[in-house]
Amino acid sequence: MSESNKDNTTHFGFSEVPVDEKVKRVADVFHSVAGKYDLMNDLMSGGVHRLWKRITIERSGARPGHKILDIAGGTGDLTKKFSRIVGRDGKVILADINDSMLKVGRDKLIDSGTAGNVEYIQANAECLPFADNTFDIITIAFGLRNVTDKDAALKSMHRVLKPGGKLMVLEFSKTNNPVLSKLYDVYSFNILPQMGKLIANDAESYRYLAESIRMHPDQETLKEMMEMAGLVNCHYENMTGGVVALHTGIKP
Amino acid sequence: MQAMLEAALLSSAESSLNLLLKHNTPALRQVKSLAGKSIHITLTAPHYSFFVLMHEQGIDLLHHSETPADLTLTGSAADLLIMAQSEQSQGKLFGQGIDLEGDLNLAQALKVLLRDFSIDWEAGLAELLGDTLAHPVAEVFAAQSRYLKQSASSFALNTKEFFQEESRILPPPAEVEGFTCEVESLRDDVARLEARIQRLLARAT
Repeated sequence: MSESNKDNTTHFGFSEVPVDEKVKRVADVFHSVAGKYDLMNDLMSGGVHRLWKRITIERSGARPGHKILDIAGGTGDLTKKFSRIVGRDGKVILADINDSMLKVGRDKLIDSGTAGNVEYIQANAECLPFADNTFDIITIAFGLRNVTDKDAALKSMHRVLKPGGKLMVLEFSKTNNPVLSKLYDVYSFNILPQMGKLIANDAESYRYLAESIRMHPDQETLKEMMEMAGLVNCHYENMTGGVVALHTGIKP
Repeated sequence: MQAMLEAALLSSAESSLNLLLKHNTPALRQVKSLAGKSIHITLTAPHYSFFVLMHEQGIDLLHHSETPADLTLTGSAADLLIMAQSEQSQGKLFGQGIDLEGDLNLAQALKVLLRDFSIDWEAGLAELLGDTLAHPVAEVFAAQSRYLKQSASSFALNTKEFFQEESRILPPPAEVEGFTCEVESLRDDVARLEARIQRLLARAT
């Protein structure tokens, strides 16, 4: 199930790169796009990413007092809402491996008045720096596909979840609708890099984002990976015809 | 698909309401004082329910919440709209139309918030046009808004008067109230008579 093969290489978009290099290359992509990540997400998805995230929050079952880990939290969309739901007695930890994304997210949240129950941590999802059984809910939205060793990341998340806690993975996935699939391909490989070039002056990073989506495991494979990591009651919900899927699993 | 539509609906409503609150400092201050409280609004027609979560920066609208709400308001969309727009919402909020359950202090605070709510057009326009231009434009807006409100109110009054007093197509409220009292009294009399007949029948057998 592991993404890396015996030659110790892994995919970076459609290219094969040494495992160590993927981390650096992904970091470079996000250093490059961090400043305009929100704007680009809105343009790329027509604002629909906000609805996907809203549905994730609705399905999370978060309530006051909960301790929530938002991995690859980027610019803090989920953290902002969770912070209001968990209230003063709860805590939300925004973790991202990329310090540029973390800084942009932290500034954005502080500017919006979100403070007091939010902490920011630069952490690798593959080896989360938290004690076992710490969190009620863990979310990772549009982040898992950039992780080099997804199995290790899922195991790490499983470890830090409390028994009964919920892991939610929101990620681009595979659509079975042939028309939508064709449109999606044209959009991802032709329009998206051009938009990246025009707005963020960085076509390559956005080409990687499109390629990494295609290389990400499909719905059933990711569900199996979550089960292999020790989660139970794993299921997924397709959104926008399967362009995005929300996977959920519970730590027994 | 339904989840996406619901999310889109709540997202638009939330953005619009927060934008209105942003331009109404007293209302935002009241919302801040209620931070952490949640209201469950259950619409009976159309059938839909959602939660309003108050926080320091405004409000969040959620379709689902794990936390029991501090206050539940149940009523039709029309009744809730009347409550939101009415300046004297005493009858509607606490009487017929809307059912209340939970924290009555929160209900009272919500009533005050809705009663005092007004849109500060000038502040919103000033962000776009600057203070110098925003003031006269806002004055025109305010005058138009007052005129429309007055026209609507006098139209409603005239229409009501025409149907109730002049054409006598509709009965005035006092007549309806009297009629309702008589019906209730008749209903009670019939109930008493029925009980008496039952008693007599029981005695006869």
